[in-house]
Amino acid sequence: MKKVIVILLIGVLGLASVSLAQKTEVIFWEAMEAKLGTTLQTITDLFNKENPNIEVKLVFVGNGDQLDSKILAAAQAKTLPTIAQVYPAWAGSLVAQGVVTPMDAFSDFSTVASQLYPSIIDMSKINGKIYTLPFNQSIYVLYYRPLMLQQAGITPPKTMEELANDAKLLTVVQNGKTIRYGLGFRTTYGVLTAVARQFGGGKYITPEGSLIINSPENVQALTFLVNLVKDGYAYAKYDYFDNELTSSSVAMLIGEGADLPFDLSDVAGQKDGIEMASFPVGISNQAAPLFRGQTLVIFNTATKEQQRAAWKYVKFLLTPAVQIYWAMNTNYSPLNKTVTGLDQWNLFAQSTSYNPSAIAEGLANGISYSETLPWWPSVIDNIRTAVENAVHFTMTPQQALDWAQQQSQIVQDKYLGK
Amino acid sequence: MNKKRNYIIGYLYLIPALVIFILFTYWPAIYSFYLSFFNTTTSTGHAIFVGLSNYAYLFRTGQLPYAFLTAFEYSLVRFIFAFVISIALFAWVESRGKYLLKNAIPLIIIPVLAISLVYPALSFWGGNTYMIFLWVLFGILSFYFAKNIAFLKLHMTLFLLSILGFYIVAFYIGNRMDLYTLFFDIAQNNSFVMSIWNTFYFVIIDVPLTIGISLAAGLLMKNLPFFKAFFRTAFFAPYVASIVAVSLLWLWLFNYHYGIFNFMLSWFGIPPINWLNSAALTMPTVAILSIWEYFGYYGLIFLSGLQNIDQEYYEAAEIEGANSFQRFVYITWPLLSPITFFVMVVSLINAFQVFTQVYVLYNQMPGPYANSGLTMVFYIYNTFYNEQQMGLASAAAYILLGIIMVLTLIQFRTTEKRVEYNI
Repeated sequence: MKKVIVILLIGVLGLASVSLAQKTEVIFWEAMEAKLGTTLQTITDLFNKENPNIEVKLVFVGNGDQLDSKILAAAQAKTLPTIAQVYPAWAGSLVAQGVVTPMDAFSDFSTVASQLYPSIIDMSKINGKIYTLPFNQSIYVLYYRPLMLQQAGITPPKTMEELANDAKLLTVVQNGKTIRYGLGFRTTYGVLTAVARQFGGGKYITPEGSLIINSPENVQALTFLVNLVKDGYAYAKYDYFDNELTSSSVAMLIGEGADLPFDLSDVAGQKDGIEMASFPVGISNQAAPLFRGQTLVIFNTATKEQQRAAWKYVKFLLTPAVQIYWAMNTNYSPLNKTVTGLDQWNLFAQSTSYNPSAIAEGLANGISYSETLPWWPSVIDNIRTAVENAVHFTMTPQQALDWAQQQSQIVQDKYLGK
Repeated sequence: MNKKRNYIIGYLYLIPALVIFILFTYWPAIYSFYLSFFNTTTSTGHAIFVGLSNYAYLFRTGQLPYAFLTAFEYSLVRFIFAFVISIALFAWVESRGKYLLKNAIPLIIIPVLAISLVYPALSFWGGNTYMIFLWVLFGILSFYFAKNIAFLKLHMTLFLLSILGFYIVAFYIGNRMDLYTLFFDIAQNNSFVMSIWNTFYFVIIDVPLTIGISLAAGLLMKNLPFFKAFFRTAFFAPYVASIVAVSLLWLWLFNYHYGIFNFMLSWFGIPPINWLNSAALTMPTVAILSIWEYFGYYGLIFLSGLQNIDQEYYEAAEIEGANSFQRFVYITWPLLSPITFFVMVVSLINAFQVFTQVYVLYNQMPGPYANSGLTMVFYIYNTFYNEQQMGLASAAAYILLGIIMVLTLIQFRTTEKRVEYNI
C-alpha cells in the first residue's frame, strides 16, 4: 500500500513539474517608477492570466540610465534578460553587438506594424531593419493654468507666435518685480528640439551622418526661447517646475505628457488645476510632435520559445485596449493608431478635465528625440549645455550651437576612430 | 619552530581579507588602468586598443587663440615683475629706507626698470627674445639678493601673497594673454579641463575653511563648561547622516524663494541670493554644504589631539604670564601640528573627490548651467555611466589619482618638517 502511495506521489509531482516546466518564463527588465510601475504590473498580470503557459516577470532596475548601464554590462557578461526597455541611443549599440532579435523577423509583424503610426515604425529602424518597438513614448505638450488664461481673456496658444504673445500677456510685474512668468521651460535638449521642430529644424544629423546642430532653423528656435527670457516673459532653468506651479509663479509650461503623473501631479489635483494643449505649431502650420521615451528590445540570447513569448507580450502591450489603459494612467501617448477612433478613448478624452486628446494629436508626424547612435548621449549633453549658456546669456544662440556642433564633431570623430 | 608556525597561522588568518581586497579593490583598480588604453564605444561594437589616445583626448586643446609659448612668456614676465617688486618692497620695509644705496641694483635700478618696461613687454614688444632674456636676468639678480632678507624668511606667506597681488595687478597691464586665460580658453572647449579647474576651485575654498572651522569646533568642544556631550553629538551628526538626505535638506535651505538663508539675509536688507541657479556661486554653495558636513568629524579629531597636549605646558605658560592667544600660538598650534597635518592630507583627498553634493543639489546635473559644478569625479561618473565610455572614464580616474598623489607628496615634503611629533 505504502509503495503505491509513494509511486502515486512521485507520479503527481513529476507531472506537476513537467507542466510547470512548460510555462515559458519571460524576464523583462524595466525602468517604470512609481505609478508607471504599478500600471505596468497590472497590465502584465492580465497578460499572464490570459496566457497561462507564459510567465512575464517584471524586474525593476532603477531609472532609465541605470537600466541602460546594467544592460550593457549584461551584454558583456552574457546574462541578458529576455526583453528590456532601452533608450534609443543604446539600442543601436546592442544591435551592433549582435544580441538583438529584429522584431520584423516574427511572422505576424506586419499585422502589428499596420496598426501603429508609421512614425513609430520609422524611429524603430536601425540599419534599415526594425529591431525594436516602443510602448512608452511621450510627446511634448503645453501645460497651462486655465484660470490664469481665463483671467487674461485668452485661449491656449495654437502657434509659436501666439505662444510668445500669450507669454507676454500672462506675465505679471508688480513694483518692478516679476511675480508671474507667462511661460516656463526647462533648459533641456528635449525642449529645444521640440521647439526647433516647429521652426523646421529639430534634426541634428543628416542621413549621411554629418552634424547640423547649428543649422539656421535650430538657431532660430533657440533665439525664440532666449528672447522670451530676455524680455522677461519666460523663466528657464534645468530643474523641475513643481515649485513654480504650486506657487502660481508660472502660467504656462513646456513639458512632456509623461510629466503629469510625476512632478505636475500636485498641481493637477488643485482646484484651478492644470490642463494640456497640443504643442503650438510653427511655420509648417501642422502638428510636428517630438516623441521621447524608451524602446523594447528582445534579446537573441534567450531561447526561441522565450523570444516568441516575449514577442506575444510586445504585441499585447501595443493592443488598443492596453494602450488606452496605459495612456489613461500614465499620460504616455497611445501608439496604436486605431485608438483615436475608439469610443472608449474618445469618451475618456472628452470627460477628463485635463484634455488628454493633446497627447494623441499629430502622432503620425512625430519623430524620436534621439538618434540610435551610442555616442548620442554626449551630443545631448552638449546641446543641453548650449541651451543653458544661451538662456543665461553667456553665449549668443549662434555661438552656443556652434560650440555644441564643434564639441559633438569631436565626439563623432572619436567614435569613428578618426 | 613554534614562532614560525605562529607567523604562518597569522598569515593564514589574513588570507580571507586579502582575497576580498584583491577581488574587489586591487583587481578592479588594475583592470581599469588596463581599460584606460581602450576605446570602448566604437562603431565596430567592441573595444579597440588605442594606446595613450584617451589621455591625449582628455587634454586636447582644440584651436588656440595664441600659442602656448606666447602665453608662457607673458606669464613669466608678469611673475618676474611681481617677484622683483615684492623683493624690493620687503627689503625697503626691513631696512626702513636705510642702506638703500648699498644695494642699489636690486632695490632701485631693477624695480624702476621693471616698472618702466612692464607695459612695453606685455604689449608691443611681447614675445621679443631679448626682452625675455632681460626679464629673466632681472629675476635672477633679485633672487640672489632675496637670500639676504631675513624679514622675508619670517613672513613667507605674506611674501607669496604679495607676489600674487602684484601678479593680479600685472594681469591688467598690456595684452590680455596669459597662461590663466589660455587655460580658460581650453576649458571652454574641453569639459575635462573645466572639471579640473572646478575641482581645484572647490578644494581652495573647502580645505582651509574646513580646517579653520573644525579647529574652532575642537577648541570649543574642549573648553566649553557645559553641554560638552551635546555639542560633540550635534557636530558629529552631519557626518553620520546620509549625504543624500542632508543634501535634500540643504536644497530647501538654499531655496531662492522660501530658503532660510535668504530669509536671514533679508533681516539685514540684503537682497535674496540665487544660490542654486548661479554659475558663479555653484562651488561656494557646494563648499558650504561640504564644510558643514565634515567639520564635526575633523573637529573631533582635533579634540582628541587637544586632549593629548600635556596640561603642564599651559600651567607653566600661565605662570609666565602668557595670555590665551599666546598660549594658542606657542603651545596649542605647534603641539597640534601632527593632527593638523593629518586633517590637511585627509581633507584634501576628500575634497578632490567631491561628487555627491553636486549630484543631489543640482538634480543629477553638473551645476545649474555652463557646467559650473562639473567636478572631476562628476566627469568620470558621467563619462562612465551616461556615455558608457569606460576607457575614457578610467583614464580620467587615473589622472585624478595622479593629481591627488602629487599633491599629497608635496604636502609631505613641505609640511612634514614643521610637524612636531614629540608631545
